[in-house]
Amino acid sequence: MEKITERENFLRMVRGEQPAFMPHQPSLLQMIIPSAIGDRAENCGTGYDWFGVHWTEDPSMPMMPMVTPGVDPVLEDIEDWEEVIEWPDLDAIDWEACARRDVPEKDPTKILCAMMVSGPFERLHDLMGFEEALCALVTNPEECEAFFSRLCDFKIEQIKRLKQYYDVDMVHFQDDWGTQNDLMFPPEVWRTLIKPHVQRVVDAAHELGVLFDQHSCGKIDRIVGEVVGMGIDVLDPVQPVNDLPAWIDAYKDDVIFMGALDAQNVIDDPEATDEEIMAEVQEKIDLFGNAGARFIPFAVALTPNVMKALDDSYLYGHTFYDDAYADEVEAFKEAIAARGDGPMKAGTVPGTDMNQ
Amino acid sequence: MTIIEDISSAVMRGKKKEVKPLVQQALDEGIAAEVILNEGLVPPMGIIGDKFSAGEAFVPEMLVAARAMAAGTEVLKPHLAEEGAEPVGKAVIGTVKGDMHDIGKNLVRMMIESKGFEVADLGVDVAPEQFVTFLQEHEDTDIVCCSALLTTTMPAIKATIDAIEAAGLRDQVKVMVGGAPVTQAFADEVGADAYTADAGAAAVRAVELVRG
Repeated sequence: MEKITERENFLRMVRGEQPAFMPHQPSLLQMIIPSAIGDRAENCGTGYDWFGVHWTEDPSMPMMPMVTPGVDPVLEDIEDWEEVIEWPDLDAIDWEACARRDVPEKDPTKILCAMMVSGPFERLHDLMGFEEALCALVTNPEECEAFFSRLCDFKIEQIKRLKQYYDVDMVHFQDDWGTQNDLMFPPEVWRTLIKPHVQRVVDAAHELGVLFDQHSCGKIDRIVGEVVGMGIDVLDPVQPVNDLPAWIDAYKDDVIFMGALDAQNVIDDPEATDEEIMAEVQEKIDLFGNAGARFIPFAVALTPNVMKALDDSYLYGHTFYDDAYADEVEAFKEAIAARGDGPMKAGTVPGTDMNQ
Repeated sequence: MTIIEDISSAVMRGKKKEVKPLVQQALDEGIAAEVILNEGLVPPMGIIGDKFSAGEAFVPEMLVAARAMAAGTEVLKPHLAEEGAEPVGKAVIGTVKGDMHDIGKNLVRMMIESKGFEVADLGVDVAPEQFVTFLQEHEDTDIVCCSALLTTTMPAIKATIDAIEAAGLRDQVKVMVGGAPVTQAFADEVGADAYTADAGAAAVRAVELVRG
């Protein structure tokens, strides 16, 4: 039997077919934060982004800077967005040079995926501060929607260039809509102000032949059917605060699930044992795999333990459907042993292979 | 509708700009500040808090209502002082050391304030010794509220409670804990007096704690 690559395996999943093995996320994704896109300071460090928002890097959470507390917001009143916001000139950027730097070589065995952080809601709160942005959604929905529309036009222009110069296979479109317990805002706010514009981005990506991975942390049970209904290809990180069995039942034929591993209670628990982490990985692979859902094990985690979980996902997932890839599992075990227990590479988003 | 009902309605709808003149109008009509507070401003916040706990209202609605109430309270403040009105209780709140997240903490502060508490907000990344120093300087504090959003900063909640204990102040305050990864089991483990899953419930619990 001919072995297939992670890329070919994933493309089977995109076509709605059963994969040969459960994907190993770090081996599958050639993940980049394009340097041509300035939604964070350079190298996700401390500094200003291309809208003038100041970010501060937290050394304990590489690649996950936060808007610097205490700094005046770029936008105080949503009614002023058209006057205040200076939109970066995409044509002034040397996309070709950025692409050469970010992707010296496209790995033919992987999916080249560009991270696009700060989706419409995130960009609003980057600019205004979180509380002001939340209030604006209910006090001034018309202006918020006009801003989201303009931002999504801007995102579409970026995706066109990511396709042209980077030849990306997929974009990871990040916009967190959920909290631990529920949506951050009423579902009607998402439905009327955000969804129509994200839908346009999804459609534009597909017209360009670019796959679409929608990222939203938190509990989004109330809207997940509509999120999937936008025609996205991948939904991540499907955190376990959601009703995952119900999601699998309802949407397994419509979307690829990426995530589901429990970071909060297992991976990031300092007392979690290796056995508990493996048990969590097996439980989730069984949950999705046995139901016939297409699944990429992953977690947005805060500790290097996530690498252990992803290793486990290879060890258990590569022979989940049959033993055809048993040799690869043995080789992977040897690679882990050879690698030792060294610390996670600095400047690496957990579970991804970043080029910055 | 009476003027008190108008005030309540404006708070419910989060209309800060309507609340201020309505409260002033009520004062001008000779209604006592404490009545305006307790019958006009506080009840709608209770309703919003309950709706939030029941999943029928969301953070933005609670925020705008809390801000509307705060606008009204601001107008009332000098009058309340004149009438000698006492706060329901005094609380201090902060996000624990190493954690920079403040939305949940701010919501809890607003909701507890809406119950008539005087709340001192120490902000984010608050070290255990900062809580202790505050309590030493404000001996009439009834409740300490500690928040953590990250699994990795939860141990700082325990460190805070331990520091309060070590300073000999544990018996004089109640400690409430909360935040996304925090659970009742964790609260029990670290010796907190109360845990609630959301800001609306936190405000209700705070009142119960001071009323015994």
